[in-house]
Amino acid sequence: MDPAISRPAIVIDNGTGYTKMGFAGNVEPCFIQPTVVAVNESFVNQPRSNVKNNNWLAQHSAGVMADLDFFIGDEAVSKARSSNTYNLSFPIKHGQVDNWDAMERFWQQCIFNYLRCDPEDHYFLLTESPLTAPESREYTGEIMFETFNVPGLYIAVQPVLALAAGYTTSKCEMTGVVVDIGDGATHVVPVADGYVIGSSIRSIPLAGKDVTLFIQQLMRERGEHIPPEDSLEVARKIKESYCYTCSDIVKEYNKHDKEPAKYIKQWKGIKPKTGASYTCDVGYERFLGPEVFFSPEIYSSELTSSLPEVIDKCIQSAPIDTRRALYKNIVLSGGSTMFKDFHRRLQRDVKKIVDARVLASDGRVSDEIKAKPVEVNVVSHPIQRYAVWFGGSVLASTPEFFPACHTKAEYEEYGASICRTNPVFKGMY
Amino acid sequence: MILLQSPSKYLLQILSNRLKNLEKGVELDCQWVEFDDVRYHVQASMKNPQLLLLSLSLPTPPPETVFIGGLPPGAIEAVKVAYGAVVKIIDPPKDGYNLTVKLNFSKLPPDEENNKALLIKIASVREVVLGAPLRVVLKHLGARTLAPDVENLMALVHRPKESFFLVPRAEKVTIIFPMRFKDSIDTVLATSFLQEFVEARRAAGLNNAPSCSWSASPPSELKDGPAESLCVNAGFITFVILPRHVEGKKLDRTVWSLSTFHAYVNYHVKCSEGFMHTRMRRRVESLIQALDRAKPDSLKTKRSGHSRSFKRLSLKDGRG
Ligand SMILES: Nc1ncnc2c1ncn2[C@@H]1O[C@H](COP(=O)(O)OP(=O)(O)OP(=O)(O)O)[C@@H](O)[C@H]1O
Ligand SMILES: [Mg+2]
Repeated sequence: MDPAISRPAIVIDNGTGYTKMGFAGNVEPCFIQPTVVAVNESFVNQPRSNVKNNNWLAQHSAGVMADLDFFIGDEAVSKARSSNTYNLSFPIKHGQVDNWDAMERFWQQCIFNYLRCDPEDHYFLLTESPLTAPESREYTGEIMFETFNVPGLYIAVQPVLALAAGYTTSKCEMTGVVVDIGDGATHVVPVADGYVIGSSIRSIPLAGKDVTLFIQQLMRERGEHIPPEDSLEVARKIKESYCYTCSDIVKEYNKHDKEPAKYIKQWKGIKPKTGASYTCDVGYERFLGPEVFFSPEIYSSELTSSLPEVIDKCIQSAPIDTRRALYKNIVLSGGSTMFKDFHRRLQRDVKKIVDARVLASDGRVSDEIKAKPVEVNVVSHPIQRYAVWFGGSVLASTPEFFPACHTKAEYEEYGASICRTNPVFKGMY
Repeated sequence: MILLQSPSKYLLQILSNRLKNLEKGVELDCQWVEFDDVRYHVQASMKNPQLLLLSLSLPTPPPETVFIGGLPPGAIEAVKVAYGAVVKIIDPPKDGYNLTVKLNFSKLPPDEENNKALLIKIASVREVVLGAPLRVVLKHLGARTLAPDVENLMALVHRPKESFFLVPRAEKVTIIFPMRFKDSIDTVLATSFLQEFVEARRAAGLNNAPSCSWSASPPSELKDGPAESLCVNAGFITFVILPRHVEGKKLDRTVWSLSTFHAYVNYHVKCSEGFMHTRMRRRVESLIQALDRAKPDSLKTKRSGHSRSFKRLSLKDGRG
């Protein structure tokens, strides 16, 4: 028997903003680190396409040094801040791997330096966005099997894992709509019995990063004094610690105006260059930030559909026999669903749309065939922030997980194309 | 850079977080596995937030190594010396583990600096336990004596069912690693890495480093060794450690580097493989670019290699 099966699988959820990594069977990931690599580019002084033969050796050894000199995560951020020799590279953009070199280095550090495991000893569960192209999966498989020699690999779709995260909280319900709002992408994904209904997936180009940008913009326009090199980071921290979802934007403005002492918060920071401290006020942005999901027009004139409308359209486009079950199990996942009362507001707004439609259709038919009321339920749980990882941890600790993986032997026999698909396995439904 | 640190990052993070939030100590139960099959299990309860149970399981020892009560000789003493009153050894250990200790946060030293140093030391528990017998031998070497009742050839556990060998003398200790790799490409890379490693040692500037040599066949010291240990696919590497390599603070580093040597080589092999893939990918990309340039204009927009399907699905396009 493969001894790797007796060890917990490694679960890594690489997100645009943060990577969640850890061992299957645990409740929490070991590390949540920004998905960023700080590379030393001072060695690479020429564009690689026109390398001449004579300085090939110099170029080569410079490349070797550059390949070794890099950091990831929080360490990368602080290295880049304190020195000019490092440049930050974000391997994932909008949920898709954009730079494979950086991605491979990122994984290398995750495995050897953070988790400190021998990749040959463990099966791996990685995640991907529902829009990932099969080619990308092949690349991932190539790196995992050839660079790291992993014995087995399973690439799971993020929203399916988020659904599986409900596994322990109630009985496992593998039909539902997952609303995954991370840093770089928002996906509304209907799942029936563990299978993604591909044709009904909806994406909104609006996620955590946009909320941060919006808050930064609001504070800049109001003239708060924040050092410009720090303002994005401050905006993100303000967002994560002070923002909440309101039920009505006009009423909320009134509340703030009536009792500013209660609603306006102070942010204290230290200027990175001089070390001097400064403060700024945090006001309307507290509720305006999360409001972009419900009234996107306040952020960008190009966006017209709100999140509740998109969810409704998504369910309406799904097969008719799944719709009721989908409305009943709308599951939140991702860091940007963590705003206080987010699930309440979402549930209320989706319900409003559904009720309006039922009312309209009831008007057209006689009394006897009135529709049964549709139950709308937005599910929220404490592990929402890393629900994808947690779902992965739960699934990868079931015995059905190992046989569902692609093994190194299969990879060697058939090639990278086996990574294009991964079977849904028991435990998922 | 490509060095493994002795403290486990995760264990250190758990300990520091626990200490920071002692009052609201939450329920904790997590397990993980490090390289060479060292397993950890940490448990803490809400009822006694200042207590934490840490269990450690070690790689399965090969028959030629000595284990006393499930631990390498000297491990219990080493734990007591390293941690003092903060740690209590629980006997018997938790089922399936070689060692269980109870950590008492209320007994940590009051000043922050010592406090931090001790947490780092606790996070290095694997070095303390697994490195114990090697440390005893090297400590005697530092004093230029021979540890009492050592054998001519000592076997210490290195990896699951694999050992490395020591020939202790008063003035030098010879250490031999039989090197094995599972994957055939790894074996080739590791063999050449080891040869380069020995070469690099000869370079100027490294004169003070321990001398080392590599050979495909077993060195003479191993001729009485167990037969299985002579069966390798990446040769044997031999280090000669002198008293100056174990002076003062160097002792800890030397113990750690030696007892994790295989992991160190493995890490390098994986990095080289990553490195080669990066180069290959670049090469393919530049070839695709060249092909693209060579195409007549009418075809250009239609095909741009593999990036095509990424493009179709990227969100950026949805934005415009
Ligand atoms: N408590 C919080 N309140 C609001 N936002 C938060 C909170 N914690 C984290 N976030 C935001 O959530 C985002 C990160 O979420 P998550 O880790 O789910 O994204 P990701 O997986 O990296 O991205 P994606 O899934 O889009 O690839 C960041 O924008 C972060 O600022
Ligand atoms: Mg995510």
